Amino acid sequence: MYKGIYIALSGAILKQKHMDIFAQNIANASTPGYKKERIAFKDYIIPVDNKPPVVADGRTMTEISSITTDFSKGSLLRTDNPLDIAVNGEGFFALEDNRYTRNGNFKIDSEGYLATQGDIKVLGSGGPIAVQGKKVDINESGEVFVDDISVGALNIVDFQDKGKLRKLEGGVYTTDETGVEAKASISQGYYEASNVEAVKEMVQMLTSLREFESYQKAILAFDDASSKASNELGKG
Amino acid sequence: MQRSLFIAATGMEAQRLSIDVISNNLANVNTTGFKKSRADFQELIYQGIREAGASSAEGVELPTGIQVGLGVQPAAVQKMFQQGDFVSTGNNLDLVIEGQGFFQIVKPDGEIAYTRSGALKLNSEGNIVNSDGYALEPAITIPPNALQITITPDGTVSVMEAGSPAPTQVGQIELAQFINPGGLNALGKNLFSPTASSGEATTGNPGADGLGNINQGFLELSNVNVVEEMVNMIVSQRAYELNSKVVQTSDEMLATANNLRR
Repeated sequence: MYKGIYIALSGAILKQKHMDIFAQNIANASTPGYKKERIAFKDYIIPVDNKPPVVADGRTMTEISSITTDFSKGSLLRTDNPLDIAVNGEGFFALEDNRYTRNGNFKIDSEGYLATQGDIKVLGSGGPIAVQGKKVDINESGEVFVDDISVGALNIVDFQDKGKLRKLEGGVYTTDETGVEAKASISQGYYEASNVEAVKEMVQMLTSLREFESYQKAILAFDDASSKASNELGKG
Repeated sequence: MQRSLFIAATGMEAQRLSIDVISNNLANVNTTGFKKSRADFQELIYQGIREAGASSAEGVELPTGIQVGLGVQPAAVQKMFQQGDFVSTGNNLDLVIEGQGFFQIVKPDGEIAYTRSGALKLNSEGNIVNSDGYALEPAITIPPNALQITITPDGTVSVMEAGSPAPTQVGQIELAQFINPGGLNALGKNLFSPTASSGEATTGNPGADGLGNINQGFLELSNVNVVEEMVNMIVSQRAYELNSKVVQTSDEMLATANNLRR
């Protein structure tokens, strides 16, 4: 049999997985603070007789090496809602239990603390930030004022290696690493739009689809060749 | 089956909700005291395939993991409480609040609801009520022989009575405010009820603590900005379309795969 058919197959499977990434990015094109994902592929050598990989005949298959998050910034959209808060620059809002987010679409939870829509408390310099009063103002350095009295400052942290951040539901990330203080300014009344660019995703999705079709053609060609070998050779 | 099909379906569902919200905003573009809503979205859970920091077969730590997202879900539909434009009506009982406050209205079940709509009326007993006949809280009764009703910016209600040279004070309007009005629960009929997220109402006389002054003879229009809603509608419709293209592309891929067997 031709091994080539499996190489084409591995490529086709990857293109299907690539579709999942496009779907995820496009589905979240209007999710505040969403960061688009990128997929990376790598080739690997077909092991010969189950021995460790050897570079011999130059035939390689391909598999996913990683799915990375592109942390480039989304544009800031003005809402005038006092609890829409954006990080203008690098960094994440620190949440309780080593969780972090760029999605500053906050609310006040049932206990009166500033929290995400998923009920995770936002941490300030001195723990959760209680917001109980008549009005809330947040200045550029992240200090929170309730009725003109300071109740703490938002804790904005950044990470040197963002690749270790694990994604959770609702634009929330988690990691065991301790972040460094970030140099960012805070904009109250704004939220950060998703950084997905529809045109790019569309073009790449189409490319992926056509590549998938090429793999199909390759598989069919190998199939034809095998068919000829088994049916037509020896007919005289 | 292909995951992207289901992911794109969540995206279409989310944009459909967004269009629902926009159409409600547009339908209420001329509703007095109406506050527009906004649909907020967040990502669904991620499926972990390989952890970042795990070891590869060669014992090397892998710098990045593989997590596949499963789409999007609505996080909240929240009310936006920016002030609407004022329009002069000349009607004595049309009131606007120039600030963050809400009028307090007693519902038939005795609970207090809050509204920005100051199109007030008198009922047959002379009580000040809203358009649905629910009484203002604290209750104010206008005497039957009143010639003119005057409401000052600080909420004092006084009337000129026939045969009396000076106005008589008949009541005081109190306003309520919330730290997070976005967390209020919309009851319909322009009314809102407090939730754990909005916080408890703090009440006071108009003009104090950012509650806002009352202006007599004006109404607050809805805060819906038609151009903004149209732009949002275009964005949502195109996003819906974009997601449908993902469905279509995934479908084509599956068809291509099916065509492997001739």
